[in-house]
Amino acid sequence: MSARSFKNDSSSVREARKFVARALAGAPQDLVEVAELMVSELATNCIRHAGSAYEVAVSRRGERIRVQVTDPGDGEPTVRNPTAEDPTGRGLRIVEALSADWGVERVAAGKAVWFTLETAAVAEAGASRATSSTDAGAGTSVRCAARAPRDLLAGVLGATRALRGLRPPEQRPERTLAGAPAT
Amino acid sequence: MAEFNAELTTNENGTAVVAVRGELDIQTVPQLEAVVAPALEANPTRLVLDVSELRFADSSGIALWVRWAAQVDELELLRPSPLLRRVLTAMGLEQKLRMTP
Repeated sequence: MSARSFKNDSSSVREARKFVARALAGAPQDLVEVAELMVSELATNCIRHAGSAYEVAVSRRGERIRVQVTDPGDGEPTVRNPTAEDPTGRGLRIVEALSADWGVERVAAGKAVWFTLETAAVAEAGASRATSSTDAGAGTSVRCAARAPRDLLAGVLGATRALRGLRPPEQRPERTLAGAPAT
Repeated sequence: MAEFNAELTTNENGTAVVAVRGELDIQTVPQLEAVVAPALEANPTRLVLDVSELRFADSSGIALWVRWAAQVDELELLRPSPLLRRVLTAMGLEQKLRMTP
């Protein structure tokens, strides 16, 4: 696992993205891009809501990637359900839509928001959809063509899998993790 | 500083076109806002953002676009990346922020 602290400054969000990208070197590019986007959302929340420095930790175990962002704030992260007219409130919804799993944990240092991405589980879960995919999967397969077949499949399905998030917003109930309003 | 650049031009039809390059996040959103502000003062009906060279955008950028979409009749995103398209579609914004192609 690699971990690093980042300061309470808007410039650190990009640094957090680059840190995650470096920690995931060798992973399929589409997966890295999704991880960068999600950590950007969580780091931005630390600055906007907690108003504090934060720590980003990245771990890889087999096919599972886990990224955790910890800040000392006591606010409750809330998945909101903005209408198309609401400018804000999409950070955690993006994490919810693109991650394999995510959650919030109370830790000694404050609260930790984490997400996971899985390459192999993705391949199994999405196998039936792979053949009909006409989305980004096609491009991904070209980029991954030199990899072993298993990696190739994982890469294609990694791109396909994010389509899971395509449910229309009105069908998605408001999800409050601990019942309290967002900070 | 995140690498970012935005350039405003007005095409022959009077449409404001903004070429957005680099990474759009909480740090660079104010830069994009400043570049586009003069064009919005003219109350354009249409605003086109060429995002073909935008390598990264998160919800900070999306929030700005949604605010702009309320000020013009049509906001168009030219050539979004596959991931940006996927995110905007997942957020139910594909009508509000028209993506072409």
